[in-house]
Amino acid sequence: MAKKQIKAAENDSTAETGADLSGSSDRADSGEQQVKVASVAKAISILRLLGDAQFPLTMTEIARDAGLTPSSCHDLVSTLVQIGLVQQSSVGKCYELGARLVRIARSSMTPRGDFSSVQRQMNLIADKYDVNISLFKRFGHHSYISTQVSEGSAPIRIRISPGQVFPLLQGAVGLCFAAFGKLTPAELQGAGSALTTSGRQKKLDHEIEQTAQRGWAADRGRMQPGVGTIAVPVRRPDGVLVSVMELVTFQNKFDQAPIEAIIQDAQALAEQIASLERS
Amino acid sequence: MTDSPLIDQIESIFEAVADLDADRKHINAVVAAANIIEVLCATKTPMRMTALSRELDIAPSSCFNILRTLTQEGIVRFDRKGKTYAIDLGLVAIARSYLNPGGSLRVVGPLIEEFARQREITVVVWKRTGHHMMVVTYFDNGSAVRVHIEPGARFPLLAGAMGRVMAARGGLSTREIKQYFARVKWDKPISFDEFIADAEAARERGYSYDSGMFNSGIQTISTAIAQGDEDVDAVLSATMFAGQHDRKTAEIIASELGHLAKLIASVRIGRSF
Repeated sequence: MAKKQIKAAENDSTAETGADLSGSSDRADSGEQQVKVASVAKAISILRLLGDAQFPLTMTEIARDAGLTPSSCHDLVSTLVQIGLVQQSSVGKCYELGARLVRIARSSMTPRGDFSSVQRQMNLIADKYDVNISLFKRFGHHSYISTQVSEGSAPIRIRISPGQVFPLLQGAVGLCFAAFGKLTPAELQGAGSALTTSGRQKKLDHEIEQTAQRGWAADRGRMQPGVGTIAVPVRRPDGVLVSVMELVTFQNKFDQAPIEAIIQDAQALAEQIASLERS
Repeated sequence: MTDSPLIDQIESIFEAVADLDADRKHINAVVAAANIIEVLCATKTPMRMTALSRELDIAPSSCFNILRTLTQEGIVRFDRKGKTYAIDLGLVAIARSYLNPGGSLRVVGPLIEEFARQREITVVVWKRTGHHMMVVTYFDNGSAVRVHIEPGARFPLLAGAMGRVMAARGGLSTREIKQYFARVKWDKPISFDEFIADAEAARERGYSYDSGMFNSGIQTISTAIAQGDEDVDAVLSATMFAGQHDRKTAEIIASELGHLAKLIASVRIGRSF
C-alpha cells in the first residue's frame, strides 16, 4: 500500500514537474551539492517560521520571511498542506503547523511502550508536592530540551512547556547532564564557557562532582529567582543517561518542602521511565 | 475510503504515507522526507538507510541525501557506531508553541469547526474538575439558531451522555459511580441500572447517546478523549436539537466524533489541552 502510493506520487509528479525523486534538480539550485536537499531544507525553514510565528501567516509573509520566490513558496506550502504538516488556519487564507506535525512531535517525545502509566504517576507526584515535573533530553551538542511535562493543579503554578531549549549546563538539570551524561571534555568546555566565566569553572567542577556523588542536584533561585529546582537523572540499567527529570516549585515552598521524600519519589519515577527506554 | 471525508482526512493524519491527490503538483523530496520522519517516529527504533529506502521505496541516493539534510536540521539523529538513523527532537522544538496548553485544540480546531458547520451541531470539549465536568471550549456552527454552552460552565460528573462515558472510562469505582449518579438531576429520570447499561454500551461501541434525558430538547453524543483504553479525564461531545438528525446520520456523527477525539488525544500534552 505504502509503496504503491509513493510510486504513484513519484510518477505523477515526475510527469508534471520534470523533477525526480533524487532531488538532483534541488541540489543544482542550492549550489550545496551532496550536502542538502534544498527543497527539504526550505520546507523545514517554512515549518520553523510557522512554529515561531505567534499567528498564522499568509503565503506572501511566508515567502518574504523564508526568502523564497512566490512560486517556489507556493509549491512547498501546498505540498506541506497535502501531507498534513501544515494546515490552513480558520482565520482567512493563512497557514499554521498541521495536526500531523504536532502529532509526530508529541509522539517523538515518548519512549516506546506504554507511557500513560508513567504520565499518571508524574501527575500524582506533581499534585502531591505541588511541583511542575519536566523531562529534559540532550538536544544537539550544547543544549537540552524539555519533553514530557506534568503540572500540578494548583491555581497558581509554574509552567514549563515541551520544546523549550536551554544551554546544556544550565541549572540543576545541567549539573545532572554534566555529572551523568558522559560529556566529552570539548562538550563540557563548550557548554561551560557559554555559561560561566573562568573564575566560576572551579565552582562548577565542584558542583558536578557533588551531583555525581549524591545522585541529584538542586538549584535554589540561581537559574531563575523565586524558583527552586531538584533534578534527578533518568538512567537505564546499563547506566546510560536517557534524560533528566526536573521538579520545580516556588522558592518559598521549596525551602519548606520535604526534599528527601521528593527525591525518593522522583528517583522511583525515574526508574519507571528508564524501564520504558530501550537499551 | 469511508463515507465521511472528515474521517478520511483524519486517517491521513495518522497514516505513514500521505495519500496524495494525484492531480496536484507536489515536491517529491519533501513527501519522501515526511514519510521517513513518520516511519522513524512510528517504529521508535533506529533504522539503517537501506531499510528505510526499501520500506519507503525511495532510491538509496535520494534517501541518503534526505537523511543527511534531516540530520543537519536536528530532526533525525545519526548513530555512527550502528550506522542507524532515529527520530531526534527537532520537530518538538519547531512545534513548541503548539505543545503549550491550548495548542492541541488550536491545531485540531479547524477540523472541529468544519465538523460543527457541516453537521450543524455544537461540539464541546469537557474536562473533569473534581466532582464536575467543565466546559473547556466549544465550537458552534454559526447557524442563526444553535445550541450554546458557556465555556467554564460546570455540570455534574455523570450528567448526560458524557456522564455515561465517564462512568465507563473515568476510572471510577462502583461506589463512586453510585454517589455521583445520585447528584444528577435528569429532565427524564433514568434508573441507576439503565444508566450502567448505557455506560456499558458506551464502552462497547465507543460512544454514548443521550436523547433529551438530561436536558429535554437536546440530544448529545459523547466519546472519550483517549488514544487507547486508558482511563480518561476528558470527553468530546456533539450536541444538537432533539430530532435534528436521523439515526443513521447520528451514527456517522458518532464515528467522526470518535476520530476527532483520538486526534485530540494524540496531540494533547499531559492534563492540558
